[in-house]
Amino acid sequence: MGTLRLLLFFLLLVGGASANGLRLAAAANLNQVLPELIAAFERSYPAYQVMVSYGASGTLSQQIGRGAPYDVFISASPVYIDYLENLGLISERRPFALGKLALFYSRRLKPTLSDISDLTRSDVKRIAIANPQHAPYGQAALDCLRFYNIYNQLQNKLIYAANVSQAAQMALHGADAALIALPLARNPNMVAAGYYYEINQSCYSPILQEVAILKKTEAAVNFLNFLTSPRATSILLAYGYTIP
Amino acid sequence: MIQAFLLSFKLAAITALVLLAFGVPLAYWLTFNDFRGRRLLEAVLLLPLTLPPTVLGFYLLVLFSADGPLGNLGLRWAFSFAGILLGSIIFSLPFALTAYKEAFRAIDPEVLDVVRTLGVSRWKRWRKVILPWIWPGLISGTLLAFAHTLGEFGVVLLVGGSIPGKTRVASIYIFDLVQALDFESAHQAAAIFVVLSLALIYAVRSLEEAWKSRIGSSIR
Repeated sequence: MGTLRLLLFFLLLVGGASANGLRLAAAANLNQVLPELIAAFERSYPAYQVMVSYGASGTLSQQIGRGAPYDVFISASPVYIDYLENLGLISERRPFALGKLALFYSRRLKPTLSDISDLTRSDVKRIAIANPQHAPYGQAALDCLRFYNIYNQLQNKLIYAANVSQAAQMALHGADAALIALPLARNPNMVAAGYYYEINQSCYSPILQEVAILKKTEAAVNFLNFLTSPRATSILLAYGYTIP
Repeated sequence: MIQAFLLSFKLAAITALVLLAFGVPLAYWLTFNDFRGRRLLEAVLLLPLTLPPTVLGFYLLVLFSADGPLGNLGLRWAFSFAGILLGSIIFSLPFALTAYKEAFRAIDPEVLDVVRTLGVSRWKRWRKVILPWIWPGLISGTLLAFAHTLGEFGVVLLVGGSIPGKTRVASIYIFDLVQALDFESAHQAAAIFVVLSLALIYAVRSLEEAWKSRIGSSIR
């Protein structure tokens, strides 16, 4: 029965999370900056162990609405926190950063794109954006394409990703361009494969990142306060966010 | 990474054991009994083979929701280990069941009849005749269910989300790594998966071969 004992050992190993665990559900655009923010947070509060799941803000809010066991939700749009607040699931909320939209495009494109309307060029065949139905950056991307009156021309080139980070990944694996969060465009893998520039912020409504406490624990409150602390602010600025 | 793989093993092991526990009697019953509606029942049990994981996942979420049939009973299993376990059991059932039925079909019913007329008790029939005959088939079916659960993705993602330590199994961990543009870690985890899956499928095939040669040497 050695195998059974081994199995039991595995089961024990995988067993419940530690008492000081803090479970975050975070918008996908934050997957570049959050590891550094969490590391800084854990340095200040060594007792806590932070675990994070990324996804489109809309997807995460749906999961939370259905009972997903997170302590803190960080959304790329206040809309999804409003939704959960209406369900009575939010105990405290606070905006902490503004995200920027960037146009990323492949090195294959020659000459390089000089303007967003160059996306209509015939050598730009596929453009990845996050699904606007549940991803704030996808909505912002759509707003800009409409603002510059190129949406109708580009409609057949658009491919929709589950979240903004997947849109970035698509730009590395097949798509020619993507409208994504600025920190993702600055990822080393992205920089090695293409170029990016920030999109004029006048074409989309501000992408306000907001943090909300779902389960009021000491850890959750400390994390919320940390995100608006000077230490967190300097990290956010370094990754291309601005502070509201 | 270790956490995700351990969670995958835990999920696959429990799924396989549950399927062994109730899939074997079910397969026995379906093989040796004919009744009205048997074919329909078998079709329902095999349904997950062709059903998109999104359909199964969606229905499970509906079942688990606060006002759903299971949620009403207090079983609010969405985004929990119990939820992905149930999903995995349903999703791997056709694989285990088909393998188990295959094993039972290899038994010569006449031999069972003879043993029965000799007055051998049910427990003894299983222990002395049936199990020694078909155990490699049962093990290979169980291993197949284990391997299939390891490779599961859609249902787990829908029903479980991606919660570290609870529902973020290895397949979803890799999905997250790719999305986070962390290709180096994704490569490592993916390579482990290839080796692991190959070893498991190789074991299943070896058991099948061993089993076929046993049947060949028996009464038939």
